[in-house]
Amino acid sequence: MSKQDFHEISDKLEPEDQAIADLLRRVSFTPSPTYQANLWNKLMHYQSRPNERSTRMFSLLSPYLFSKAVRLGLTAAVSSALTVIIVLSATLIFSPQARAQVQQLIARFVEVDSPEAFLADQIKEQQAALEANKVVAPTEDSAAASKGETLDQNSENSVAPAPNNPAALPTLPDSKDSQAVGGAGQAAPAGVDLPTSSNNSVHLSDSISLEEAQSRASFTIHTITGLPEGYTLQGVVIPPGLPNNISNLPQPANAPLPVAPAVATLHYGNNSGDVLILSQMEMPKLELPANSVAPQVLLPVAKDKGKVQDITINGQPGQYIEINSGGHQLHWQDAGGVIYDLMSSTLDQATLIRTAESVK
Amino acid sequence: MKAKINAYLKKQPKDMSVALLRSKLPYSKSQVDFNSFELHYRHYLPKIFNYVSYRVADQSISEDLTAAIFEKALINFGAYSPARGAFSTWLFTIAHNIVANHLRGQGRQPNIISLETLPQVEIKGASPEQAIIEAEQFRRLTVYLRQLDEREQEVIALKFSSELKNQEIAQIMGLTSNHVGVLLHRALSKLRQSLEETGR
Repeated sequence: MSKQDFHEISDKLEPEDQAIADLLRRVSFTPSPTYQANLWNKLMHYQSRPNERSTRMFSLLSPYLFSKAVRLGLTAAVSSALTVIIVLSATLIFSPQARAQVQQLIARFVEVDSPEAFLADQIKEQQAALEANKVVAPTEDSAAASKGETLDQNSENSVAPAPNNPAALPTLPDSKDSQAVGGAGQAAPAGVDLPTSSNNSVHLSDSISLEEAQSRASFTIHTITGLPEGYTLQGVVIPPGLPNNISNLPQPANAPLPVAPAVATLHYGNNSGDVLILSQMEMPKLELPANSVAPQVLLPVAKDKGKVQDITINGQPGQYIEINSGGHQLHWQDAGGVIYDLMSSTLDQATLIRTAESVK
Repeated sequence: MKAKINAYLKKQPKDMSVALLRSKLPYSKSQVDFNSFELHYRHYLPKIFNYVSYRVADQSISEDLTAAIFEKALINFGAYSPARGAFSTWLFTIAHNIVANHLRGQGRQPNIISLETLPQVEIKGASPEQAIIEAEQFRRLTVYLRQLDEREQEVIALKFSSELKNQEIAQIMGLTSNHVGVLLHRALSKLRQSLEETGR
């Protein structure tokens, strides 16, 4: 430093500070010669290796860069995710179609807890559907009679309760083997289906024992006490509905709605394969209005179906029907109001009548 | 400039550093720059070391910080332009920042320093007996410097270690020259009082 600079500095100091200033100027910290040489060598070494310097600088810088790149990448990813979420939310809010599709997509992935639970649910649904379709007798009299004879609309023998029109009689679907029965010279009334000769809608395979049938039935089942030789009781069938041959009983006007009768069919047979069928139907007691016509229990038979002969069974009026396609049928009502039908394919008229008179 | 540098180099000992420099010229363009830097290095090394010693009062730390200062200066020497200011201002700005960072990292500076760790002291223009006395006084002043605030210490160090003018100190510290003058007077007054109280 030049003398001029020194005076310039010292001139700016206060007089009382000059002494200390002079001391500070004369005394100084000095580096050792060894340190000076070593430092210079170090600086030269650093200068002579630019690649190392650049690598060193990069190594110092790389963590910063890496972290910055990671920060930028994370920021971009989060921003993209938020953008997608916002767009989807807006689409779901303002687009009903999109909502419906999302709901369908979610429903596909809704899993049942277990196969057993799924099956149980299915079974419950089916049972509920069956319960909803069942028709139960509404009155007290028929309630017991309908025990074990629950009508199912879905079955073949289902009989729907008649509508408010009493004239609309319930009808049973004709089976394949059904045979129309008709009397000579008599035409079937309009709207009335001809009864068939047998309960073809029920089968012997559905039969039960007499004791079991009696336990199920709400009425006393009558049996044939004087069976022809070789015939035995093979089974009792309680059909769910009306037998085909008693399906169309004419009802007077203003008569109460018909209810399901108590029906039982006894199947007899022999070793030769001959069949003897006894159907019995206990009709519910009807409260007929005054001056009404009592229901007719005799069967109308068409001329081309068979020959009808009026007879009496134990003093009660009845019909002997010779079916054109084969077989014989007796139809009568006893003193207790039970309607019977006795059908056979081989027995003659006398034997058939004698067998009918032994029903007790 | 090139002639001065070559004349300077011819005066220097033919040590390995110079030979190594001349044999390995990574940048032909920066050869002159490196020679110029060496000049600055030779000139400012004692000043920088003195300034750092004023601030940290420890020889080993002073040496490390001095090396860091010149290393950074070397790295950024290509970016220095005389049009932007004096080299001393530029270099002492680097030194000021490095020392400040070091002191900030250390936390609060202890007021008590160890005289044994102080760097070597050089007395100019004094007899041997006077030099011993003044050296002892200087060491005591160094201890009293710790009682001053940060800016007062900085002003003292920059003023008397490198012989910088108040305006240059103001540029380095970001103050006005008048403020530097006030700080300088305040610091010297405190030191004087401390010396008077303990007896010279």
